[in-house]
Amino acid sequence: MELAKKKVLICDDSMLVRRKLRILLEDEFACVVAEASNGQEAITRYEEDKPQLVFMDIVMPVCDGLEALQKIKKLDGDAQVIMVSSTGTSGKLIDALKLGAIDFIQKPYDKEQIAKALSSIHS
Amino acid sequence: MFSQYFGQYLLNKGILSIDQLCTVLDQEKSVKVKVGILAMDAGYMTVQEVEKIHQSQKRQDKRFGELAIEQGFLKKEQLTKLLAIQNQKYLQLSQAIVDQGYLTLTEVNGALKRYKADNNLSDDNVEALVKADVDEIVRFNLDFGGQAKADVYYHYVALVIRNIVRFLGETPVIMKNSPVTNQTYPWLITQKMDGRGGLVSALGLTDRTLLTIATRYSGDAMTTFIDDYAKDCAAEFLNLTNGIFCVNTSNEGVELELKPQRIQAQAVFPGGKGEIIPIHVSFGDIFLLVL
Repeated sequence: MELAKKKVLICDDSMLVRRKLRILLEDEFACVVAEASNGQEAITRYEEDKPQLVFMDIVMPVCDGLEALQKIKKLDGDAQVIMVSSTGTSGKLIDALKLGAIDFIQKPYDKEQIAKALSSIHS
Repeated sequence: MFSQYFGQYLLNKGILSIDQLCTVLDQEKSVKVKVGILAMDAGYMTVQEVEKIHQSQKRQDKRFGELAIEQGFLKKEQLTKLLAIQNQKYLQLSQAIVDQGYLTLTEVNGALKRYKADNNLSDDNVEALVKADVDEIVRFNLDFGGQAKADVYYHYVALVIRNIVRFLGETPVIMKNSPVTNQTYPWLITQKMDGRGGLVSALGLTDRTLLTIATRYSGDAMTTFIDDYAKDCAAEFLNLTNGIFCVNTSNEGVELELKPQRIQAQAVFPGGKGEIIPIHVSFGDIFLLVL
């Protein structure tokens, strides 16, 4: 099954969010998961691992999610990044979409939203 | 929420002991009926529809009935009927006290009258407590009169209270607010929301309250040792609450910039200004600080 081969990068400064999302992606969707705890680490991990999908938080120390999104899109125009944030404001949503994010999920996410996000990278 | 406030009053006045209060609150919990259950019982909603609303409530700061109407599962008049049934349950605490033989019916009614009089509670205030109308409860329990950001504080505190109910499974009691002092908290989680109408908020916690928030919010068992994961889980609870607050203000046309949260041991709330709102829950007191 093609889904089993998906490489996903989770970028969030919260250990709780990374842990729960990793368990869900590995156990329910058989993904190969890498983690980053801030935007700067995410850029490095993206270059090294070339994931097919990135779940990116917005509010993070060192380098925030929007800045990291911008830099990742510069490295790879085809990068598929979904923002996952507790601040689902219209302003942030517009900023993220303008910078090339493919979707925006407000925390706390549910399993169906993650499944939909993963299925979106098939098309 | 009426039971928690009235129960706290009975405790403070020495009318009931803590053990007696816990017993009657426990007894009352077993017959506590939520709107979703009432709606299913009345045949207005299916289990799936109720669950869908519960999911929506995790992302939106709205009441069950409000969302059920918005999503077309309930009609306004049906909700009114359900709330009318629910309103009668505030007498259940009194009944439980009488059933246990702690007070006679006359004594409990007298205590109830004194509680209303001592707290200057109007019928509307009592109704707000009965309906768990958090916005109204916050308004009559707290006084931010002298603060320029009073309205922001009222909205914010109400959201925190609703999230304590939703994510920690508690029915909190809001105590009187007071100006910030230079008190040192064993743990202080602080987060800034920048912009016009923005604020800095913090949770002042003990080891016990931090660990319980972390456990309840994450759903993971914690040791008694405060490790990085426990700190992160408690901080994430504040982050989620503040994220929703930013969404609420954004919907009203005010964009706030949420900054990363910070957790410190043995810390004093920065700035020396603002308000402290003690929130009593079953596992201790959470000190909410706003500036």
